Formats: sequence, structure tokens, C-alpha cells
Amino acid sequence: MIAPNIRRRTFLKSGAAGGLGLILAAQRAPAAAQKRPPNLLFMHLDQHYWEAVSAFGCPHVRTPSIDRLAAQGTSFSLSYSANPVCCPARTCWYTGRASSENGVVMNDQWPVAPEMPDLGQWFSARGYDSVYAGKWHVTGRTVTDSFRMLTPGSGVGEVTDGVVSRAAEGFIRSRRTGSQPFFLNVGFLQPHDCCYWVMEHGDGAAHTRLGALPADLPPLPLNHGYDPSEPAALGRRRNKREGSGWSDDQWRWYLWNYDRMVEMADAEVGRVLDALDDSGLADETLVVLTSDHGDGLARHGLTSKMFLYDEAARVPFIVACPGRAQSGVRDTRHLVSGLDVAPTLCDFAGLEGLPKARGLSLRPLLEGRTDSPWREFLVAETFRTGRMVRTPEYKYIAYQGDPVTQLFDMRSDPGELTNLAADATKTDVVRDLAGRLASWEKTLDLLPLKEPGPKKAGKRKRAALG
Amino acid sequence: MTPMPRDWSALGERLAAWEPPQGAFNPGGAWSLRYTRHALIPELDGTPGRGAQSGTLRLEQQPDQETLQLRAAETVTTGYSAPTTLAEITCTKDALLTPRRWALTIRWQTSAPGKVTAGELDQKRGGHVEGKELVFQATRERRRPAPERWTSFWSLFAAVQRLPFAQGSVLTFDLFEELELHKPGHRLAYIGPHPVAQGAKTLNLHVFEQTGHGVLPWRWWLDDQHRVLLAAGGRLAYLLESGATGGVA
Repeated sequence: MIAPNIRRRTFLKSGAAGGLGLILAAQRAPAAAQKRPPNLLFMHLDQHYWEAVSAFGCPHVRTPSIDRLAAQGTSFSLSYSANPVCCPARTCWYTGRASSENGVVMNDQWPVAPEMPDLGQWFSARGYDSVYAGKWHVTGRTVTDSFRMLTPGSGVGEVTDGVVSRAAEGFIRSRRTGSQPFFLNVGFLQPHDCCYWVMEHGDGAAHTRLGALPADLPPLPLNHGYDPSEPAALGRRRNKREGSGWSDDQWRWYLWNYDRMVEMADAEVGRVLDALDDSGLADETLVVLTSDHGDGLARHGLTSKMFLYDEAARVPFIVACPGRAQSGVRDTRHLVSGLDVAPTLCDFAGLEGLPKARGLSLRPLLEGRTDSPWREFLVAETFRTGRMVRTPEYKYIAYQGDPVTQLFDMRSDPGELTNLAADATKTDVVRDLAGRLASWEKTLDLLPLKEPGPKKAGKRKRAALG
Repeated sequence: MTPMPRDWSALGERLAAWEPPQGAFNPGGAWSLRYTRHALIPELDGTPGRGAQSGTLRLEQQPDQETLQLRAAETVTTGYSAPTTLAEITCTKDALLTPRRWALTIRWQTSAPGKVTAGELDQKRGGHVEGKELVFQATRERRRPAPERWTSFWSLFAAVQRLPFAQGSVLTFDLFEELELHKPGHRLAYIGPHPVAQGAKTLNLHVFEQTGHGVLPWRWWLDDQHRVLLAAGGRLAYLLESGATGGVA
């Protein structure tokens, strides 16, 4: 994520930033050298906000499987999607390159740069049995060109996530310890079905229920309101979202349903983890679990994604590898990005990284070397114009061509309600973060984008759904 | 909020040629029912979609002296994959038809370009109740405490048909989807009669609603013979095959 010239400076600064925010019963990884590369299991959820996990303190959702993985590894709290919408986020994972470079800046309309290798091709060419089950959604590249495909997704999590987990567990249970290492990718769709829920409830009616609403509806979030002077792109988005006319109860009913969809995903994750344990492969497999983006979840009066508030941009990111990485760690200090997936997988596999990969390997953090230099800020993009710079203290958001920028003090205002960009005492902070953004952009090999052709009906629907 | 469930209209054109079942039905006897599985995807403007078929479910019930045998064959079609789960379940004759012993066979049909080796993903599973534990057998045996009240999703099709149409007709239980995925805290309760317009006819149906962890609310739509015509959750529905007669095996 950070160019080498910036990295040296930020590494030096971050080295004095203090210890891990919270370490829960951490166990050090053995220092002994490993004999063979681990299997790699990369599971991704869709539209899962980082906090919707019971192990992270959410009282409204039950996620024993994700909790279990978190107990076996490291969970990063300051984890951000590289671009919080489906195709761009996924393309960042699989190419290791920022959206402005790989070309996929929005769903379905811009294809990935054809010469840019992806993780499937990379690992297949280097001795891994690279297989895929479920949702792919990297525009312009057929998944079977990169992976051996077990089963596709369907666009509806409730219909086929069970098939995806069945395929993954079937694959795992058929493997033997010590055989050719595998790189298994499992793309679950839940809780993304919440997009259908929003469409179906656009007019505010209950529709999917006959009886009274449950007594245990979650409360509205504290940041349900929003600043009307926010950037125009957000206002336009809010005005066209179906939830704009919902009552408080309808919003809460939405949250309740979202939590059930998270639980659906959690159950399928558990099936895959059980298979890994049962097959004796858990001790030789690195597991990564994350999500492409989050969901509005009534925060700032929004649903869905494609914006840079935390609810859309912040995602769970858990890595476990018994014997090679720490367990039971909750890292609340280090900023991590979806762009870190590729370098981390390559590092643990002992392979050279993807060309010009912009992320960082999480391996030092996972191995407990928390005094290792680390990035001081990260950048996330949205569409072609939105950029977010996140430091441990602040978040700066700018949309090209929009005079309104945003600055939030993420420690005193985690709900991002008070825009400090025009605060005279924060002028230096804004200048510094804008400068970091400009420096970061200079390090990229920007891909010129052609204007996309008109979208067909099916693509319109997919683009809207993300 | 006005309750306006879209379970039926969400099936869209799939209902155009659908006929309700005919004849008597004995929920406690031997029967065989076939359902089509549908994805309920609304259009962008929120109007119901076309209820695309995504598989089938066949259920057979055979009671005997002490227990009840339930067989399920569920196929899910998705792109070029079509796994079928065959379940043979011996159930206790209680309100939940609680499974005592079960065997699952999962077979995959797949076509290019999957490049999956024939049989690579097939599995056999089993399980039984042993004292106060549930024992799950796959490539390794797992044990877990048995919830006080629990059942499988397939068992619910049979169990809900035995419930009276009366307020207070309620089941509480932990759900084990596919006899594997544990989803606790479920409650299935009679909501009341609910007419449904179907072509020129009006079907006078009875509705049970089910909520709990890990599922969106399900509605179970039964005819006056206590036969499940439609089970619909968030994005998924099971519709009894058109024109089924009696349901006698």
C-alpha cells in the first residue's frame, strides 16, 4: 500500500507508536523453521461489517465459528477494504494492486488489466493446487482461467452458500496431510442478501413478516443521523437508497435481519473449519477470513456500500495458522488493508510476491514481532474519485471535484459525526493527510480508464447489488 | 407496518401453471411429497422477481411402531454444479420428530469447466443420539451436548403438518440444518388463517411462522388438510409440486 520511499519514513514513525492495544491470552508462535509451505484457505464473506461478530463485542449476533477462528489467530480491528464495493475489493485482493492500477474501479463496467496476474495464476504456477468455490466477481477475468473451480456461487447467499461450504468441506476431507499444498478460496455471499432485503422493503412495509416484530430488535446506532453538509456524492447516494423513508422500527428490523444473515455465513464458515479440523489439516493450513466491504447498517442513515465511512469500509480480518502464528490476539493498533491479503499469502507460502503488490505481509504481526515497522497510514478508494486516508488518529475523505472534504478524529468520534476539516485548529492535519494522499497516488501506475459502454439490464442489477 | 408477506407473489410466473394439491392427506401416515426449490430475488424496484428454480426436495415419511422413518433427497442446482443430499432419518415420534439416528450421502453432479475429479467432493456422513450427546460422524467423530429440544429442517416439514391450527400451537427448539449446522433459539408458532389469491381461486391457508438464530423468518403455508404447500424464508422457498394428489406414498 505504501511506496518504498514513504515506507521508510512511516516505519520509523510507527516503531514508536506503542504496543498492541489488546492482547487476549496471546500465545507466541514457535520460532522453529517450518518444513513445508502451508496450505492456504482464504474465506471471504460479502458485506460483513467488522463489528458484527460476537467475539468483537456485538451482543445482537451469534457467531461461534468466526469467534473460534479469532481465538485461534489474530483479529485486526483497524482493517479496511481497499475499495468498499464487490468487484473492486475482490480485484484488489487477487491482484495485490490498487483499483486505480488494476482498472476495476466499479462493479462490472471496467475490466481488470489483462496482463496483471492474480493469486490463482500465481499459486498454480508455483506448485499449489489452486481451487475456488463460490463468488468470484473479478470483472473481466473468468475464474476458471485462474483456478480449478469446485462450484460457482449464484448471487443469492441463502440459496447457495451451503453448496459452497459443502464443496469446500468435500475438497478438504478428500485431502491427505503432506500431499500437494492447496490454495482453497471460498467465496460466501452472506450477509450480502441484505441488498435484496433493502430492495424488497423500499416502501417501508414489513412484507416478510406476518407476526409482530421480535422483541429483541437491535437499537438504532448512535450515528444514525448525519451532517447535511457532507460531500454531495453521499447525499445523492442517500437520496436514492430505499431506506431513506424508513421508520425507526423499520431500520431496526433491517438490522435484526442483517444479523441473521451474518449468522448464516457463520454457520457455513463453521462447516469448513470443522472439515479442516477433522481432516488433520488444521495444523498445516493458514486460514484468512475477511470481507470485501461492510454495510451501512443505519449508520449515517445509510445502507449498502460504495462510500468511505467505517460501516462500509471496515471489515473483519482474521488470520490463523497454528504453530506458525500467534493465537488469541486482537490487534487494535495496526492498520491493515485488503491489499495485504496477497503479500501475506505469498510470504507464508515462501513465494515471491505478486508484481508491484502494494500491500504488506502481515507475517511479522502474526508472529508476534509487534516491534516491526509498520505503515502509519493507509488509503482506500471508492469509484474513480473518492479517497480515504486513515491514520490511527484520523480519517480524511476527499472526493475529486467536491469542495467538501471530511476529517474525523477517530479516537474521540468513532461514529464520524463531526467533520473537523474546516476547523482552524486542524489545518495542519488536513494538509498533512492530503499530502500523504498525493504522495501515495504518485507511487501508483495509474491505469487510464475508458468510459464504459451502456450497461445491460443484468449488469445494472449486479452493479447495484455489488 | 402493515403485514403483507410476499411469499406467494415472489414466485412470480412460477405460479402461472401451478395447481394446488387435491385429495385427503394424513400427516401422521405414510406420505411422499415433492417440492421445487426457488430463489426469491426481487427486481431493483422491489417488485417480486421470477422465482427461479434452484433445485428440488423430495420427502417421504414412513411411520412404524416405535419410530418414524423420514427420507429426504434435496438437490441444489447452481451453475454447473448440482449436489444432492440423501438423508435417511429415524425420528422419535414426538412433536419435533427429533432425529435419533441418521445417514447422509452427498453426491455431486458437475460439468465442465469445473475440472472437479469425479467423486472428489462426494461424502458420507452419519450421526446418532447417545445418552445426552449428539454424535456426528464424518472423517472424524464429533460429540456435542444434545439440546433439550432440537430437530432438523427436514423434520420440520413433517412436524409442522401435525400441529393444530390454533393460537398457542408452538414449537421451541434448536435447529440443525442438514443435520449439521446448529442454529439455536427457534420458535415456530401458529399465526392464523390467511387467504391467498391464486388465479381465479382463493386458497384458504394456515400459516406458521418460525424465527431463530441463523435464519430469516420462515413461513409455513398449509392447506386445510395440514399439507405444507409452501415454505418460504428470506430468499428461498419450497413449493409443493403442482397438482399433487393426496400425498400418499
